[in-house]
Amino acid sequence: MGNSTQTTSQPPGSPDSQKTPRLRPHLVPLLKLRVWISERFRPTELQITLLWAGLVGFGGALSSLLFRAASNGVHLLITGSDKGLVESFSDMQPWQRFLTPTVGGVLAGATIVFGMRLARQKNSTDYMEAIVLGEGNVPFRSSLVKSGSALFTIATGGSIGREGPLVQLSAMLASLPGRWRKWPPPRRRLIVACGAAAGIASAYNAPISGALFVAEIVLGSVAMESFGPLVFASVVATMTIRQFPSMGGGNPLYGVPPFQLNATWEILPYALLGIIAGIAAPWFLRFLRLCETLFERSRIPTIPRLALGGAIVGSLAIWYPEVAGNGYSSINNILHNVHNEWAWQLLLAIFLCKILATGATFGSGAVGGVFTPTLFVGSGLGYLVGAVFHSLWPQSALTPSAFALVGMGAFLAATTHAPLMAILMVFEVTLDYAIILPLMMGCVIAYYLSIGIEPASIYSESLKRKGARIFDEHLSNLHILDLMKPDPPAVLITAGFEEIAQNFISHHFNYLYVVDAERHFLGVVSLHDIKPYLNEPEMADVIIAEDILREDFPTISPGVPLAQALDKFARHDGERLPVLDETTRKLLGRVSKSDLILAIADRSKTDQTSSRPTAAAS
Amino acid sequence: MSSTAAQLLQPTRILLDIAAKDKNDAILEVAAIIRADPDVLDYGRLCTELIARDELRSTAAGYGVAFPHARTDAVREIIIAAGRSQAGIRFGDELVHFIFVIGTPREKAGDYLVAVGTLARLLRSGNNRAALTQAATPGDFIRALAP
Repeated sequence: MGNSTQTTSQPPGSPDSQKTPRLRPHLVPLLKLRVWISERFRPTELQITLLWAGLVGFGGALSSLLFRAASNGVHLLITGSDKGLVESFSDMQPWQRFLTPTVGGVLAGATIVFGMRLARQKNSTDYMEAIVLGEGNVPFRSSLVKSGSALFTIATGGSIGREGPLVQLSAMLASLPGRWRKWPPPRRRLIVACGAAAGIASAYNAPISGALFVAEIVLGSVAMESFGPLVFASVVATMTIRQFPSMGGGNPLYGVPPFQLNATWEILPYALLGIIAGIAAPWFLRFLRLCETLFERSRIPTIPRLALGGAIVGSLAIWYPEVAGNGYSSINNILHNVHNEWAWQLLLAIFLCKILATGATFGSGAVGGVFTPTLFVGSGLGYLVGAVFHSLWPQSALTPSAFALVGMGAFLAATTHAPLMAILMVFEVTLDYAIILPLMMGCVIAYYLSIGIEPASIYSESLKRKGARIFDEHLSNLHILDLMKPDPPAVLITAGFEEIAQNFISHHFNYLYVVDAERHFLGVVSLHDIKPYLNEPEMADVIIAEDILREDFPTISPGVPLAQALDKFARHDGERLPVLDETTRKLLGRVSKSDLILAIADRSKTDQTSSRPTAAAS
Repeated sequence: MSSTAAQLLQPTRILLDIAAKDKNDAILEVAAIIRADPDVLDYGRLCTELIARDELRSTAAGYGVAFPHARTDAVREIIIAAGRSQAGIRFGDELVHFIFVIGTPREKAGDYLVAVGTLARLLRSGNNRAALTQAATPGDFIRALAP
C-alpha cells in the first residue's frame, strides 16, 4: 500500500489536458474529522502499536484455547479418559501407565522427524517458552511442528508444561502483523514479545506475570516503551480466557488455604527456605543439563530417544501416577495438604520421581515448557522444608502449605533469574496477599544465592542455542536504514487537492511527502496548513501540492547512526522523518520516532546484559 | 471575507480587454499591468514562474476562470491583477474569459489560499460572472466582486 499513491497522481506533461476535479463533498467532513483526531489525540506509532498489542493478546488467547482443546482431544483419543492427567493415570492398569507416555514419545518424535524435514530446520532441545525475538520473525512451520510434537508429549503424560507451545503459537501469530505491515525490527520484536506475554498470561490466568515474564526473561528490560504493550496484550489475553468458565473463569489457578504471619520471627524460616531454594535451584538446572548430555551421548535416533524418555516417565508412573503431566494437580494437592493426606515420606518419593521424570522428558529432547514443572519442584521443596519446621514447632502457625507457596516462588526466582516475575506470579496464581512478605523475602534471597552459584538461568542455554545474541549484537550497530519503512505514501508535485485530502484520510500521518516523477523528495504538505480551508471546497479546483509545499522539512540519510537521528527528532515535533538518499535525494522511506526509541531501548538493554553474567554465560 | 480579495484588486490592476489570443501571451499581458508595482521585485522571474506553474498543471478552474499564480520571492506582498477576454482564451480544453494573476511571497502560502478561495467562491456564481462580463469600467468590475 505504501507506494500505491505515487501512481494515482497524473504524470506531468500535457498539462492542458488535465482537469482538477472538484473536491467531492463527502471528503470534507472526513478530512475535518481527521484534523480533529490529529489535534486532540496526536496518535503516535507507539499508541497504534498498543492497539496491535491488544489484537495480538486476543489472538494469543484464542490459540491457547485451541491448543488446550487439541491436547484434551488427543488425551481422550489415546487414553479414553477425559479426566486430568494424574487422575486418568491413576485409573490405568500399570502396563497402560508405562505404555501411554512411551507411545506419546514415539508420536512426538515422529512429528519432529517428519515435520522438521518439511520445515527444513535442525531440531534442538529447547524450552519453548524461551522465545527468541530476533528480528521479530517467528518461523511458521517449525513452530507448528514443535507445538504438534509438544501436543503428543503433553497429552500422554510427559513431565512437561503446556505453557511452552502456548507461548510459541501465540508469538508465531504475533509475528504475522509485523511481516504483513513490513514493520522495522524493533517494532516487530516488541509485538512478538507481546504475543509471548499473551501466551504466558493465558496459560496461568496471570496478566502481570505474563508481561513480567517477557520483560525480565526475554527482553531483559522493564522500560515503559515496551512494558506498556506487554501489559496490554496480557490483559486482553486474560480477559479473553476468562470468558471461558471451563478455563477457570476469573479464579486464581491455585486456590490456597488461608495463611498469616503470627509473629515477626516467623519470617526467618522463610528466609531459610530462600537460602535452601537458592542453593537447590542451580543443582536442578545442572541435573536437567546432565540428562540432556546423557541422552545426547547415547546417540539414539530421535524417535526411540523420545520413546525412551516417555518410557522412563511411564515406569515411574507405575508406582507414582502423580509424575505424569506438568505437575499442576500435584501442586494443588500439596497446597491443600493441610490434613496430611500425603505423608511427607510419600511426598518426598513423588518429589524425587517428578524431578527424574522431568529430567527424562526434557533430556530426551521433548519440546515443551519447563515452567510448570519448575513450579512443582519449588512447591514440593517448600512443603518438605515446611514439614520439618512444623514438626520442630508444631504449635506455631508455620504451615507447610505456606512454605510450598514461598518455595514455588523462591525456586522460580532462582531458576529463571527473574525475581520480580516470580514474586508476582505466585501472588497472581494464588491471589493471597498475606503471603507477600515471606514470598518477597524468599524470592530475593534465592535469586541472589543462585546467581552466585550458577550464572546461567534455566533459559540461557535455550536462548543461546536459538541464537538470541546474534541479533542482539546486530542491534548495537543499527542505522536508520535498518529501521526505515520503505516506500512511504507520497504524491507528485502536481497532485490536486482531492488527492492530497484522500491521502490524509487514508493514512494517519500529519505530513504528506511530495516528490517528482523520479521520486526525488521536494517537501511536504502539512495537514495543519490545509485545515483552515476545509470550509472552502472551491479551493480544490485550483490547488496542487506545489502551491502549499513546505520545502524546509527536515530529512535524514539512511547511514545515520541512531543517536544522531534522535538528535534530529529532538528538534522536530513530528512523529516521522523522510529518509533520503544522500546524493540523489531520492525518497527511500520514512522512519518513526517510536521505532527509534524502541531500538535505542533495546540497545541499551543489550549493552547491559552483555556485561551481566546471566546472559553472557556460555 | 470577500473584501480581502476585493481590496487587493485596484482599478489600475484591471485589464478589461485582453488582446492576446494565446494562453501564455494572455497571462503575460495581464501580468504586465503590475510590472512597475513596488511590490514586484523581479518582474521577469515572476513571469517565468507564472508560466512554469501553469505548465505544471493548468490553472483554469473549470468555469471560464483561470488563476495563474506563483509562490515566488519575486514579489514582496501578495498581488493580484485581473484581465477579461470577451472572445475567450483556450487553456487546453477550456475557454477562459477571466484571468486572475496572483503572486505571493514563498513563505506566505496561506495568503494565496485565502485569495484563491475567496475569488473561486465568488466566480463560481453565474450571476457574478455575468456582472463581470457587463462591467464597463474597472470600477464596475471591482464592484461586481464586492457588491
